[in-house]
Amino acid sequence: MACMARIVFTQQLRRFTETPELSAPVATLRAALDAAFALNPRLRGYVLDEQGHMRGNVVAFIDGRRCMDRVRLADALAPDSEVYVLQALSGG
Amino acid sequence: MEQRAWIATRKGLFEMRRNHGRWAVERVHFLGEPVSMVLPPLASGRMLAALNLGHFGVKVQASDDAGAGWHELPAPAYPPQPEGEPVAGVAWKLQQIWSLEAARDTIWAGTLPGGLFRSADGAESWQLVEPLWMQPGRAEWFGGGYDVPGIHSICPHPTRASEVLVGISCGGAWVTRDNGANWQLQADGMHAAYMPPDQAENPNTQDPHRIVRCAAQPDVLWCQHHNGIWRSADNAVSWQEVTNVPLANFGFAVAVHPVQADTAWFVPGVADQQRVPVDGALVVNRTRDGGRSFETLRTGLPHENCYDLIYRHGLAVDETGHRLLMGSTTGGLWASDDGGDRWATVAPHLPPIYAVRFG
Repeated sequence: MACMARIVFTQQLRRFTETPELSAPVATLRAALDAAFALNPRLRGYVLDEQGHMRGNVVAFIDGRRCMDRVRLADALAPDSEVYVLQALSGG
Repeated sequence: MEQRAWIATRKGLFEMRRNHGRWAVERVHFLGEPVSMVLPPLASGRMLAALNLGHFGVKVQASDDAGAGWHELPAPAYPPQPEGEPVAGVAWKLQQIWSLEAARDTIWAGTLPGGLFRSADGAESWQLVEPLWMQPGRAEWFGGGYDVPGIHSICPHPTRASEVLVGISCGGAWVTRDNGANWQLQADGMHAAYMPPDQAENPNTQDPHRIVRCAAQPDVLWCQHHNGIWRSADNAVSWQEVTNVPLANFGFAVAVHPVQADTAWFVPGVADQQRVPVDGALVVNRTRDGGRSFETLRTGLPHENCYDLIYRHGLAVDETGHRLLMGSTTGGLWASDDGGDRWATVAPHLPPIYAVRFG
């Protein structure tokens, strides 16, 4: 579809819950995430904490650029943006 | 007699069975995932596992058939954090479920960063116990072992339904007698060697590493504290230090006999700045006279080159008071059938063990 942001979640999440891959007419990162959470409400708790902030070890990339606003998630999306929600690398 | 136990580890939940006198791993649940705490099956059949997924947060899994099948339930969640909330550095965000206990129709969850949650519907939903969370004294709490404070011990009173004691690192011991509406700080008698001298007696900054209550004599509580062992015989009105502990009085775990309140077990480590067994030999200190004397039990435990640490929930005694299980942060698991006199290695190479529980 034209002029729709595309949102992709890490496959690692599929161990725990469904991860919809979707395109949506959204203007911000938060709106993009909300569109995904509407399809699978359980996904919200895996990506955001109870204050609505991005979890410390989750990262989002918008068109290859790492999202820095982890609280408001107000980063703007272009009509054809690609958003990847990934796990940060950590642990052992 | 067949018996079951659960071992929560950094890389899964291990279900143990004791058959013909030997413990063995029966099944592994959530292999690869950190399981911070487990609540064995209740009378209703429900059991809980608290997962602490490194990237994706704290999750609660429930089973109604003793682990044959699991399903996710909502995790406890802190309410929206008010603007300018005064306790510096503590976000209202669930970091870990550190303790789970059930009494009557209530399940209690103690968490990092210090909130106590309750569920009246078998963990289908949780409510933050706000009177404790909103205590002005919470501003004095600080982390012990973690960056934020946490509730590691929950001791419901076995006969008084409205009474619960919780132990907090570092925030002392708090008691409610009206089902959570009001809370009293009850750590008088403890002292903190890690605080400035004029603050050492402050009950609100004590670091009780673990508190357990005798089921049959509930006025008796035992505490392995950051810098010693304390006992209360008056339901936490006062605490008396136990001073003649062999080898070392540092440690994390304590277990109390379910009937004989004067019998308790501890696992010493050298000191807080060196958290390993004394002389590289794992031992258990047992008292059977309320702390007046101890026996150091080492038969069947590693005698040399052992650096296993038994963390807060790594030592458990069953309802008979005879059988013990002990699991270490380097993945060793040992069992005793005779109150700690003799031990046998159950599994030497499990993942780091967070909690051991019978049931």
